[in-house]
Amino acid sequence: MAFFAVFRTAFLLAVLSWRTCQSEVLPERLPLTPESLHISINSTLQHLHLQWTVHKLPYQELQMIFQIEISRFETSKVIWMGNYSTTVKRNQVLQWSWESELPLECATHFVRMKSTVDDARFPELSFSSNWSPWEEVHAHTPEQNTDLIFPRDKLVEEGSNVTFCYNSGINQNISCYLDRELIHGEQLYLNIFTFKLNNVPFIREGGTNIYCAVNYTIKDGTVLFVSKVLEEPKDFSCETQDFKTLSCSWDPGVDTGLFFDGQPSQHYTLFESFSGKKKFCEHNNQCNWEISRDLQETYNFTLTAENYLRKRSVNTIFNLTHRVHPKAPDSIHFNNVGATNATMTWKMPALGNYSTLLCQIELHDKENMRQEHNVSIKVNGEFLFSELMPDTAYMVCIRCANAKHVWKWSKWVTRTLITAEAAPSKALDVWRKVKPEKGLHHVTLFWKPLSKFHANGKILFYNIVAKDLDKKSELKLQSIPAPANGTELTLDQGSYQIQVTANNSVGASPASEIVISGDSGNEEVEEQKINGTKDGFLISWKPLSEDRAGYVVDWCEHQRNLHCELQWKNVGPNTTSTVISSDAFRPGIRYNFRIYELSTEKIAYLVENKIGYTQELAPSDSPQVKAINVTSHSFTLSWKDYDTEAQRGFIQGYRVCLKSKATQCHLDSVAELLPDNSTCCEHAINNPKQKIFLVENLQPESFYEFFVSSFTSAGKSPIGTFTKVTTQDEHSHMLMHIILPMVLCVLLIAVMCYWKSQWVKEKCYPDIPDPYKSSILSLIKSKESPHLRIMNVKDCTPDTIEVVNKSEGTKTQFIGIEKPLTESEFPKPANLYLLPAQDFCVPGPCISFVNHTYSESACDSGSCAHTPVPDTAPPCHLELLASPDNLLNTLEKTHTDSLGEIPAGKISLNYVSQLASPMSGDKDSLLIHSPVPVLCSEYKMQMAVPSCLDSPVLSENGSLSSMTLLGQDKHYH
Amino acid sequence: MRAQLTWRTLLSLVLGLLLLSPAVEAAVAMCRCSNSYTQLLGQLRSQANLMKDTSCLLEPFIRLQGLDTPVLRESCMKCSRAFPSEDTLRGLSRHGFLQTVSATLNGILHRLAALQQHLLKGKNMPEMQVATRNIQGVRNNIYCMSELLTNCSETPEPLLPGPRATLMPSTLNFFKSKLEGCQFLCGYHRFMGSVGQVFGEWGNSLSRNRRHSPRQALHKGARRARPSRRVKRPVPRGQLFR
Repeated sequence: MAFFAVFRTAFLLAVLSWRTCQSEVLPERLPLTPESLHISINSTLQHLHLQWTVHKLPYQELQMIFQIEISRFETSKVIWMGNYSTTVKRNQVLQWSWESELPLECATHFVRMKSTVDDARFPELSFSSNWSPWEEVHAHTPEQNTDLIFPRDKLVEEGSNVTFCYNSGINQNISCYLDRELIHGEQLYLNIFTFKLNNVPFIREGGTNIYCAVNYTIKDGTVLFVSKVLEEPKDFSCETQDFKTLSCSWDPGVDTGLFFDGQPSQHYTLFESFSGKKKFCEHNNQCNWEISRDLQETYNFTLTAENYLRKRSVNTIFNLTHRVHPKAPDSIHFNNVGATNATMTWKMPALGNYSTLLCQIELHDKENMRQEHNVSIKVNGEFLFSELMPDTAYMVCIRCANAKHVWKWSKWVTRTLITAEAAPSKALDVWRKVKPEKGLHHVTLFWKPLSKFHANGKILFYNIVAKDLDKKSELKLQSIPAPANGTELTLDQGSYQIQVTANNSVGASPASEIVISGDSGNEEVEEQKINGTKDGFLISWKPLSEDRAGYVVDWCEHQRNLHCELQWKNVGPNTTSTVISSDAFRPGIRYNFRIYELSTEKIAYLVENKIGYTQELAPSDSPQVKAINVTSHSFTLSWKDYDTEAQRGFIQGYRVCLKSKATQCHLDSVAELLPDNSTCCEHAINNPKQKIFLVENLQPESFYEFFVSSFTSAGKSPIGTFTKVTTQDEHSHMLMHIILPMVLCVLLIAVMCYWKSQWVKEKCYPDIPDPYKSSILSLIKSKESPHLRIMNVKDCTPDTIEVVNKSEGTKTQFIGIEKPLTESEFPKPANLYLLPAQDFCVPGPCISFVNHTYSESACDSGSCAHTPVPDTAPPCHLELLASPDNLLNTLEKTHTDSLGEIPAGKISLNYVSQLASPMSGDKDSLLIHSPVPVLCSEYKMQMAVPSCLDSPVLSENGSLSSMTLLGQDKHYH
Repeated sequence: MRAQLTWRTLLSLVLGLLLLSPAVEAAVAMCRCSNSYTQLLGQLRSQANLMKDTSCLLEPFIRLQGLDTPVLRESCMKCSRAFPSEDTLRGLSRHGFLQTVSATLNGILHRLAALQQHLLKGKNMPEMQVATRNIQGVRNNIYCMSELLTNCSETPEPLLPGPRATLMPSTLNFFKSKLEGCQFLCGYHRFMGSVGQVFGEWGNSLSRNRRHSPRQALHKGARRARPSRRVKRPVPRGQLFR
């Protein structure tokens, strides 16, 4: 043992002495110094890539540590020191990379290293080598002279930190910008500046521009492309619809693509680990995978999203049968469709017999889901629907899923099922209106259309059958095509049972019965007022009898319409009140409710009649008032035409508003302020039936204005225009009592005079005067002229009568005169012409005289036509004045007087007589305008001819008589 | 062997069709050409005036590429001089002018496609598509106008060199490509403005032949714009579409 200890000490001493000796010898030739150091630059990654070897490795391999120093700009400016530990093999080329934060292009870098054996197996080798020589490295730039900013077109992820450097070169006033912002760099070395961007954001796909310029002249620039961070695919899942293809889909998240070659949109690959297959996906969100024919049961998929900067993966593992997403069912048909049932068939596509499917069926009508069923099938499905409604459209929805493991349901498929029709299931609700007239009943039937639920199909027509209950005979009246909700019947006053049925294509509804008795329509019940609310009318009544089938309340929906839209409500037999409500009810409309009691024989008896408003309104118009019986102290107002029932509420009375000059109102009225700030005296009438009002205690000959307004519980009718009345004079009444009788008396006398005018005329002015009574006689006597005497009529032979039209103002020409005569020139007296019995052209003396007595109208103007004075005087015109000059003057005066009494235009019947011989001693001057003197020696019979005859009178021998009718421009002989 | 022959035949047919396509296009255009000189001229003026508006293409490009800063905009507005100057265009005969404009527009179409691919990575820029359609429309109208002038016995003249080569982008870094694209679009708008100006000087009558001295104009244009030396030496028409 002691020997062993001594030996070990001696050995150690020997080794130490050898090592000491060796350390003194080896410094010049340390064998493990790194050699052949080669440095390259990866500008994109900003990596310095080092390669070296270790020569004369004493062993096959050694665990070594390499100490590395990196300097920038100068060897003395060491910026990084570190160790790289590795196992070195003989003749191995060692590699190591260093990533520079600063772009490598910005500076010259120097690298050196030394090694140390750190191998426990060879502790004797545990010493460090010498430093290798400094190796200088420059980054190569394409355009060495112009590129100033680095790195070029750098691609980083959002949120990264980037260091830029720029070489200001000789430009002292160079400015560098990051987009719009001026950059203040930190001087790194001489003209090299650097700046660091931390947590860079994504700004645009076109990258962030970094550039340097001198006086707005760009010297250089680069683009920093900031990519969004690639996201992990979300919602990655795969499924099959046909056991042939797996369709995998996912949400790719943001697109990390940029306008840069180095960063296109990310791409996706799908890898299945059990089969070891990989597929590059064409789309960013889905990929199809072919299922192998051996139907691999389990799949383990890895989806990898990748862009230039990053990879993200997600994984899913599943059993194929748990990822069945069936396609939607197809070939859906309905068979044996009845009124209440139908069979549906369908097929499931492309799944084959690999799995059992569960199908969900829902049956909806328009509003709700009515039925829900689950059916298991393989490929073909069938289901029977029952308890369906006739003539109803249903929506049938179906979808299917794998029965063993529901992954996803197929899409819903919807089809419409319409069931067949059935006969209507409910009797119609029928009501009637009876109007007795002339021994007949005009019955208007109304019915409410059946609901779709009860109609069971389209109602085609309604059948109405009336049965005479007295005669027990049945009369099929009519079939009314739908849509109709009523009809009119005319029945006699007997009792009739009327049955109404609704019919569709399948059959008829149960009959609805109603009985019209002989008394129907003649019931009279007192009207009662009721108050309605906005919710309707509460109507109550007293039963008529114990034995009743029910009640019916009817009313008109739109009362003001000419056509009453009759509404009714059926009420049970034990109910004596009901609420009638309707959306059609409007405020201010009067509704009339009639309550009928239905007997068990279906006969309706009117129980009560009620009227009311849901809400009373003020009258919309005021009465049209007339003022009558206006006296000096009163007048009466009347508005009997005012229809109180057509108003918008129950008329409770009237207000008579009277305006006058009087400042004080009478005791029975109150002063009322009007909207125009004037006042009136208002008289209240609280009886709605009083439509007349006497306004008393007025002043004579005074001006009054009045207005009458009606009022309901809701207010008064609007005030319109006041009517004006002026009271009469106080004496006018008395005057009327005097003047009126006087006028009547005068009128009576005038009538009497007119009535007795003939008698007076005959008495006072006979047509044929008695010459002996003439005034001329007195003249004759006074003159006592021997030549003047009275001609006896008996001595004269009647000759002719000439009717002379004496039209004043008409210019008349005498034939042969050739000169129109003015009125002054015209001989005013009516002349008696002495005309020859035969041709007037027969020469002979003709004597005429003026008979003033006869110058009177021969007939009244009412019966006679106007006959002008003849235009053409007889060709033989001989005028004779049968009196001396003084007489002539007197006569002319008399003539003038009498002419003035003859109405113009009247026809005179001149009496023409014939003298036996012309009187001697007549003045020649009087025989004017007598070219051919005619001698009339014969007396002829005188005839009185009414001058109104306008047609010539033929003599018996067909020739004209000697009567001359002188019409207007016509002469007849 | 037979299959190989068939493929060759098919290939030659396809190539033939491709080569013929300009002729087919021309034929189609001709079929639709208006015979109204006034109408064509009016359309060309309107199109040129529309396309000179920088808001149609340049401004959207500037915004998309982040060049909307004072310094970068200043640089953008140093328009590319690869386009014939207005004086150069004015000095050409009407026929020569039309051919030159058509050839330049053809080059622009190629450059726009390159811009789309290089700077937008094929992503959709609606304004670029609209501009492309407008350029095609102008070219069609130029073709029709050219046909109309030919029918009126205006002799076609040698053309200015096509600017296609000078319009193509250089392989620069992305920043410089952006600026170059921007300057190109600026030049495009300016060129269309010049085209509109020249069209505006055309008479409203087909018979009136406005013609300046081409050589003088060329000299003038070269002095001002210096698009390239080739401008001074008109090349045959066929070379334009190589």
